[in-house]
Order: sequence, then C-alpha cells, then structure tokens
Amino acid sequence: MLKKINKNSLTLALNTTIYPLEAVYGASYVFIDKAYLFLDSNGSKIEVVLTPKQKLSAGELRVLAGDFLNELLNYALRVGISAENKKIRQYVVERALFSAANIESCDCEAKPVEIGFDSASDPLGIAVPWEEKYGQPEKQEEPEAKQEEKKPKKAKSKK
Amino acid sequence: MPKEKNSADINFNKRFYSLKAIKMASREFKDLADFSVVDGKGYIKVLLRNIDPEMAGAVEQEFCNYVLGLMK
Repeated sequence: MLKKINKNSLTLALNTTIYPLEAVYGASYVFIDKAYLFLDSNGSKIEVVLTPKQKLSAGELRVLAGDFLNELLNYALRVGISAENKKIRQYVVERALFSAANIESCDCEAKPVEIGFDSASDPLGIAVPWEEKYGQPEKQEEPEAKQEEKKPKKAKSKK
Repeated sequence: MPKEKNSADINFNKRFYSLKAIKMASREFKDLADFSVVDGKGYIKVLLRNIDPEMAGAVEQEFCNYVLGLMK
C-alpha cells in the first residue's frame, strides 16, 4: 500500500502474496507512459516508486497511486483467472492445432477416379440419345380415353 | 539514484530486472550516455556517465522505464 509521498514521487509497498509479480509488471506497463516506475524489494514486499512525468500535487499523486492499485488489482485477478483456465486453454489450443494438422495432412484435392475404362468410350451407352437408341415414341391415346371414362362418374355423383 | 546531471548509478534488483533486458536497453540508449553494467550479487549496477546535457533530467528514468518495458 501507499508507503510514502515525496516531493513529486510516491512509494508503494506491495504484498507479494496478494499481488503476484506478473500483476505488478502488468500494472507498471499500463502506467509507463504516465510515470517513471522503478521496482525494488523490501524484505518480502515489492516497492514500486512512481514518479509522474508531469508535476502533480499531493492530491493528484494520491489519485495516481489509487489508479495504480486499481490496475494492480485488475491484473492480479487476470493472472488468477489465467492460472485457473490454463488447462482449458491448453486443451482448446491443442485441439485446434490437431484439427488443423489433420486437414493439412489429408489429400483433399479431387482426383479422377479410376473406373477401369476410358471415360470417352461409353460402354453402357449413356451418352446416346433416347431416340437413337429406342426410336421415336408412339403417340399415346390413353389419357383421352381415361378422361371420357371419368366424365359419366362425375354426372352420377351430382344426382 | 543520485541526481548528478551528467552521471548516475542505478541499482536494478535481480528479482525484477534481467541482465539481458538491461544490456539490450543500454545498447538502445548508447547515444545518450556511456553505459557500464556491473553484475553484482543481488543487484545489477548500471553506471551512466557523460549523459547528453540536453536529456540530463530524463535519461536515467527513461532508461529505467525502458528496461521495465522489456521485462514484460
């Protein structure tokens, strides 16, 4: 927590059991454009010296410290969640890479199927038109005959 | 960190800063000052000499930030 405020800098002493080093790095990186940061250790605690690039009042320094601690908490949570989800993430990535490797290794390009004869030969005569093969179809009169048969039935049903 | 204008000594705690990052940063800042790096027991000492007078106030702290940025 806030240890001391000097003329234009402040020192924070952070408990390493609450805030992991990764979180300290992350929060420091966010503030790198606003302030000069320097890390040191004091026993089991991490000391962070924050010197704003622009001159700030004591109140503004406290606000800066508060913002830094909030960011630190945010990063500590992120680190915790990241550690919790590590196995799931690894599994998802492995699965994705495995699937991608399978797609690359299989021959998905369409190759001509060998059917034992030349496709141009047409042994079953599929390419021959119906008329050439069986001649012209005969004219069918059946549909008209059926219509005539149906008419008397309709008349009966009206009665 | 002394406040002399044309020289400065910085002690980087090995727990937070790596020698590799410090050397890399020294190479980047070589035009702004003369750097010498001493690898100590718990600390890495960086001596800055002949700091560019135009950048005297900022070189030391910008160097620290740069090293920290390389650590992430």
